[in-house]
Amino acid sequence: MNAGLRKRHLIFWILILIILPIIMIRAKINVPKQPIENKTYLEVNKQKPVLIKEINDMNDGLKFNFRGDNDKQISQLEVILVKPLKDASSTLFELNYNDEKGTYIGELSQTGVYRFPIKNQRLYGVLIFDEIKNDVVIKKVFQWD
Amino acid sequence: MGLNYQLVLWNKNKKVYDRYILLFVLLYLVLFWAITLITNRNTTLETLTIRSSGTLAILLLHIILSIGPLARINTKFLPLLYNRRHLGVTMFLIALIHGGFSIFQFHMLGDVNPIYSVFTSNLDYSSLHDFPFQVLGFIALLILFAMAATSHDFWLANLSAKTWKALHMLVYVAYALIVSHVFLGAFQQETSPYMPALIGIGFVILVILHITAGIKEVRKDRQTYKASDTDWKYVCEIDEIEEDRAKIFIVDNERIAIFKYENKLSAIHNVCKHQGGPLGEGKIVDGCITCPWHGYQYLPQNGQSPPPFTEKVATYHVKIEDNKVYVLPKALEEGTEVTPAIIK
Repeated sequence: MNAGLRKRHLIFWILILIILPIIMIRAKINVPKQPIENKTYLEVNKQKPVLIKEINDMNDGLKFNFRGDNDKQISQLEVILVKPLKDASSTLFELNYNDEKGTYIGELSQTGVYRFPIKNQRLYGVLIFDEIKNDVVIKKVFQWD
Repeated sequence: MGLNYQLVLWNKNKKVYDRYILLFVLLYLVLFWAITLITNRNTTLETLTIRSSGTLAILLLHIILSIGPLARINTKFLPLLYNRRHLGVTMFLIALIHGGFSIFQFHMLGDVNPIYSVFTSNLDYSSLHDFPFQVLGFIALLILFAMAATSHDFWLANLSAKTWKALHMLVYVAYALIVSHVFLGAFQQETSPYMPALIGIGFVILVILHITAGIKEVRKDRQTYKASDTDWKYVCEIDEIEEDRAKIFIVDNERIAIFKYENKLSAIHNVCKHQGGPLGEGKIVDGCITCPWHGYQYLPQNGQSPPPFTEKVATYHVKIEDNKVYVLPKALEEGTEVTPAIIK
């Protein structure tokens, strides 16, 4: 390498050394801190014994089971993804009464069973959101008696 | 070094090296797929492909970026440098699989052109959490494509060494874009701390290697002299130069390589015309100074590549007095014949 190339290498590495750690640290700091009990881990979220309410949306390939330890108190939302979502990066949120994205519930990816602890007894609805496209994938309003 | 261009320049060494690359790639993919399928049976084929190719491309990029400084620090790594080009093209092809599958999975099902969708589906550039990280990966892929497509001596000769080198130094921009792509994208939903930690460790290793190699170069550059066509400069004792090897002497931050061979001394400019390799760290093979990076050769007495090759570097006058080597630190026209100093 000649002197010019050595200098260019030096400049590139000084810039990398300054810029990349800032991006890495800021990116990790900005990851939203989700409540730990909302994480989707089958090992953690064992199926609650009592099925209280069942809502099916077979057009979208989704089944929603509201479960609890007894038939009076819903404490778990079981989502069964029968067919894969078109959007690979999908996040489940509560739908608030303004029909907007509410509290974060968890992540959905491939077909299967997902269980999330919930505190809201009667969810107004849920919203599946694509975090990459920043777009609503499915909006589902629940009918309660 | 070849006279005629071939689509892929394979020799015995490169074939062995390429087999190792292929073996490593297959082993990595098989292990990644096996471990993922054991721990998560529901993973889809597309997701497996995207993740395995993405992580493998990043790993290969770290290896590629390590080879340069490693070869500067320890000459044992020079064979890796000689074969680095094929590793670079392999890395691009794997990155292309990652990019292609990602675009297919995330953007093909919409009603707009998938490439247009990459750039327009998310415009939230002000948010770090929702940053359109795929754009960063796409730009990095374009840079890697330009590098892979021009990774051939045909382009090196036709673009000129300066332009070619400038283009290929964009690998650092690609690296920065890829790390940002990963941290602002995949790691925003990554619950395990291991993956970000691994990339962080990779970054630290690369920085340490490049800084160590840089410091070594700076130390060499410290003892520099002004160019002069009248003032002979003392270089060293004759015995300090090994047979068929060189001593490097620095003038105006440019390096002169003074070679000792067949009881003679000759001096040429240290920078190879091919890719800027350090000729003074090479040796005399078959009577020619041979670049340690890619084997380009020059005759010591005139700095010209042996016919039919046309590359040539600057030469310098050398003299010996009382077993002491002196150089006249003024570069002569490239390819100028200079009578070697005779060792008596």
